[in-house]
Amino acid sequence: MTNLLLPVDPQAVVTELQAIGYVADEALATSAFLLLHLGRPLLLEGPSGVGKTELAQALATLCQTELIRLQCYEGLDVHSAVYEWNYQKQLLAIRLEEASGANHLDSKQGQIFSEEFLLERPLLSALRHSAKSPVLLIDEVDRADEEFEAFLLELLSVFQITIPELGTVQATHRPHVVLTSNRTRELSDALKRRCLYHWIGYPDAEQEQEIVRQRLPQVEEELARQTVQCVQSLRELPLSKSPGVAETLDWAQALLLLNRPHLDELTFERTMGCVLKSTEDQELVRKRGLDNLLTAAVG
Amino acid sequence: MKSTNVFVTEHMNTQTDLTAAVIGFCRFLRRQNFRVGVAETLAALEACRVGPLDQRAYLRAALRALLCSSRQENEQFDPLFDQYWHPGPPPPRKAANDRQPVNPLGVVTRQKRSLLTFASSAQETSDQTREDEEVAGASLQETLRHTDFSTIPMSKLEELEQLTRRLAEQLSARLSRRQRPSPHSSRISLRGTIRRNLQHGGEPLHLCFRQRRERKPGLVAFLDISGSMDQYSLFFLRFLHALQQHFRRMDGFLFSTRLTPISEKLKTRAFPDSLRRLAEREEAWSSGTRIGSCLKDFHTEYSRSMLSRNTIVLILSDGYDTGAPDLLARQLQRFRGKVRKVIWLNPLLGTQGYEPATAGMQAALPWVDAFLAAHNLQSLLDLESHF
Repeated sequence: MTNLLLPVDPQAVVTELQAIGYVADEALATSAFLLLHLGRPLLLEGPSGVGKTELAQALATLCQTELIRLQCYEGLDVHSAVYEWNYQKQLLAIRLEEASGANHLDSKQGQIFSEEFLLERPLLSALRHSAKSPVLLIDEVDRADEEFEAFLLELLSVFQITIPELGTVQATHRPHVVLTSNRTRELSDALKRRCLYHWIGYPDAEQEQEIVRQRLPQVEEELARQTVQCVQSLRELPLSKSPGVAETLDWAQALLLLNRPHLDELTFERTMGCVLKSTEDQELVRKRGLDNLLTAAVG
Repeated sequence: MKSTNVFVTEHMNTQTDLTAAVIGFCRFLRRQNFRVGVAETLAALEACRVGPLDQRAYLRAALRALLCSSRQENEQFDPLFDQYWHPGPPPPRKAANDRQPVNPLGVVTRQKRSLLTFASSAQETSDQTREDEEVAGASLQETLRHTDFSTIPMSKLEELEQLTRRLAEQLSARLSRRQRPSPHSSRISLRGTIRRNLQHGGEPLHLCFRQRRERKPGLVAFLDISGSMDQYSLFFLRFLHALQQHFRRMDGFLFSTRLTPISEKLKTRAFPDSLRRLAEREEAWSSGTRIGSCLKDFHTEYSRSMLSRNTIVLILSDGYDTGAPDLLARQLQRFRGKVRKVIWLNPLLGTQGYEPATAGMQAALPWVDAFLAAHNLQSLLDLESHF
């Protein structure tokens, strides 16, 4: 299964990810490395906004392949995840054939349940990707129902899908599968066993600063440091929604746009919405005193 | 972090040594209750084949990704890894004992205590209700069904237990068989319709419908086990235990001055066993009540993973709260928009002349979707229509 295009060791994964702007530590890079080489799905868990989805995108860029994304939600079914027949087109075909006078049932059945009438949804198109293994991102899998999870289980072990009217579709190139979960519910043991597991937590200050540096090179070093420090201390508070790395980046970008050379109380107050996304949280931070937080971060 | 070849040569000279070591490590983890089977072991060996083995960091990260399947296991992994691959002084044997914290003697005494609490309180009431007992002759079952839990004499407890179990089973069966006709739920299934009507040349003579499968809701139950609820707690526990069979997901908590999760215990099939387990650790049994702060704990710790729009929240309490009323109101308010329904079951509501006048109850009422009695078995059965 050696693929010459894939990185040769985890260190190479770190470097190559770095080159496309994704900061990964060695442990995460190892998981990604194994995902690419062992063909096992990778399950990423962790709080929101720490770059779970981003990793899939970065891997797709790294492998120079397509990213196919399936966003899960409650009630997601096979028709929107795997395939669907194009009913309107089928009806039209039946009508047209009638108009032309021919009427052979058997041939009709064969015709209207053929490739031409098939609408590929993410999972099927991931299996039938012709050029090379795509990266398949199954996002927020914890939101889907248990039934769908069971279906995924089957798909992820054999990489084939059966369409009753058409036959079995076997993966031409096994997709690299990345699953993400925000842990709104516990996933089944069976699914977890099929996957590599990696927990992405919040990065430490140094790493986070590196991320800001990578993603927003225009931001001054000092401003980046202050922003990161401030977000780090916000994460210590009992907030209902702790700010993730995505929020840090948003915030830094906002400060850049507002042309603030450094973080002061007024600026913090004005741009609080970038990091704190609920009034309760904002209230709580105000009560603790913006200045306290700032002196801890800036000083 | 030193990453050298020394690491490899120290432990294994050849490839086969490494294979043996990895297999040994998998077996070691299995003994630590990790779910590591043959498939995982093979994957671990495969990982060793493809990666740079001379780096200890790689081996560690690779095996962690392959062999762990939860955050907890992730956290346990590093010390175990070090213990196996870098054996220092032998670890204290004590660790093994920690896994079975149950002291058989302790279990017995504590179990006795809470059961005794229950029995003795029932004993007191039995004197008052001896007359009732003699009147109730005709149909014991029918009577028991409607008797307030608090006035049931000790001698009838056994029968009541049985009846509770039977009725709970009945409730369970009725709930799962129930279907509601609804004009909105059927939608035409184009897939089915076209397939079926091919024989008529595609003319839609027969329509196929599809119906949204009704989803079982989830349930989160809070049972008050403070002193004032003493006579009811045990029945409610049994009731909760019976309920869990037909909810997609059920989580349970006991609360008094603090919150105790019991979801795991409720999952045990046989009830007496899970009761025994509850008795093992419940220190808060029969003390005061602080509903508000308990719910607050729930919101900070558990709500994210347990609540969904299809969840029913069930609170079983008499509302005698020693905490601040507005704290309770605020915490109940937080369920708004997150769950399908908040139901409060109050055993006192069935008592003649009872008014929910306590400050706590008053503060709670505006945030509760249904406020119902739960003083006898019949009232619990009536709950069905609210699920």
